[in-house]
Amino acid sequence: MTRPIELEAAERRFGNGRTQVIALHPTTLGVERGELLAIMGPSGSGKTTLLSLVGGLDRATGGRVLVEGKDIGQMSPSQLALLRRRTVGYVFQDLNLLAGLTARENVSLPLELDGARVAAAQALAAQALQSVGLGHLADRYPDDLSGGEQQRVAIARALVGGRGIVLADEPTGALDSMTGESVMRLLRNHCDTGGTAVLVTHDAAHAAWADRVVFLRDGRVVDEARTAPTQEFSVGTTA
Amino acid sequence: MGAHLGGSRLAGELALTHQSVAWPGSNRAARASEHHQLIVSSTFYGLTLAYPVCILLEPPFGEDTLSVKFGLLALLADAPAHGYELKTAFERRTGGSWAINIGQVYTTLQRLERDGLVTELPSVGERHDYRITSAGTEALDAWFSSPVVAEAPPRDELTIKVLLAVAAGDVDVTEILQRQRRASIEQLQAYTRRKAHADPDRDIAFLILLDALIFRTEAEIRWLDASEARISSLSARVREAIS
Repeated sequence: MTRPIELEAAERRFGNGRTQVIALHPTTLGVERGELLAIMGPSGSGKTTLLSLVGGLDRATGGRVLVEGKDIGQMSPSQLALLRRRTVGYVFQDLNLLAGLTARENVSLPLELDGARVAAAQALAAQALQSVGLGHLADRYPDDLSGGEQQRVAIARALVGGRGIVLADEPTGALDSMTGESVMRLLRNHCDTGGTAVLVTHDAAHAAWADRVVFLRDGRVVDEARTAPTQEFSVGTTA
Repeated sequence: MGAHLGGSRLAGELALTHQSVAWPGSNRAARASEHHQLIVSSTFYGLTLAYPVCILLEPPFGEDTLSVKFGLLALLADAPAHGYELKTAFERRTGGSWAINIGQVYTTLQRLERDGLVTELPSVGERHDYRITSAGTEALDAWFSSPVVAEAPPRDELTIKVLLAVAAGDVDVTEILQRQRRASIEQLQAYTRRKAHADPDRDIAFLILLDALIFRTEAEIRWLDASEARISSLSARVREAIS
């Protein structure tokens, strides 16, 4: 079965000659269906570059990036736009909700842009908001929602219409720890029900919701941590 | 307990000062002030750094022992109980994660009885119940109402390991930090898995315990990140100075 996300020696360089900067050295990395992958590393280590390549917001200057088995480097701008509307949802730290639209309208927008009828799109949007626990706030405008609620709207918008892959760039950055935790529970639940997510974060407690944590440094994957399912849980003393 | 550290040199890098160490009994304040300085100096990209590291030796009665002592007193404040009941109740109240052995329960009870904080009730058959005394209640109240102050500076193995690795010129500190970071994240993943499966209404003690473990581990990771940032900014400055 094809993996939802596959990087094959994907790299990203900027400029050339003496001023060339390698934001991401050739990187090979696969993400399994149902997996929540976290990417950690200091600023400038290439985290956001990697995520942008997977989301088709930026193009690799070498190697290949495959999403659901398709090489996105070969896609036209309109094919990329289609990929982002149907397959890959994005959640950013700064929420990017449109202030003039209600929560429901924000969530239904990608479906309407994709040609869905307004009534059908709004019904799916209402369902998506329900699934993030915001069914009762569907008619509120972003300004009337708390930071955590706005972020849950952004997640509903990323998931709406059955998009299987969520890419999240510091989605908990501006939230307090309990609210951040509720966002992580949603991403965890998305993956536990067959979805896939890649999370960029500097917050270890949130990265720990992932099945696998990849560490980047200077544009290279240097290490990874995995959940050990059989790990013994024992603290304190038996002295 | 005493240890002779004076005058020794480790690998030509470390100079230990002070002559010997001895624990002056069980007074915590006195213990906290007893420390030894380890002067660490190292040559790092041509710069010589020297700084003191305070080392506190493991006290004879540590945090664990104190927690068990007051944990048992808190349980006895509810009702008299015997050793095995106390063991199981202690484990349940601490979220099922802190296993104590029955020997430690009895040793602690003996010490509490010696100090007049509990008293053994006349035995009924095989049962030896203990009851809290009024002095015990006072001690427990005082414990609950006083904040816990962590001893500084830290004396844990990880801190010392990193400090010594920075001092030793031929050790890859970044690699040590990353190995520890991976281990800490994996620990955090294990705690988080437990948290994800816990019931927020019924497992409140367990969740609060998990939060404590998670935040502590998170603090450790932040410290690892900060250490790495300091080391890389120092080496960048040194490279700049050389070129």
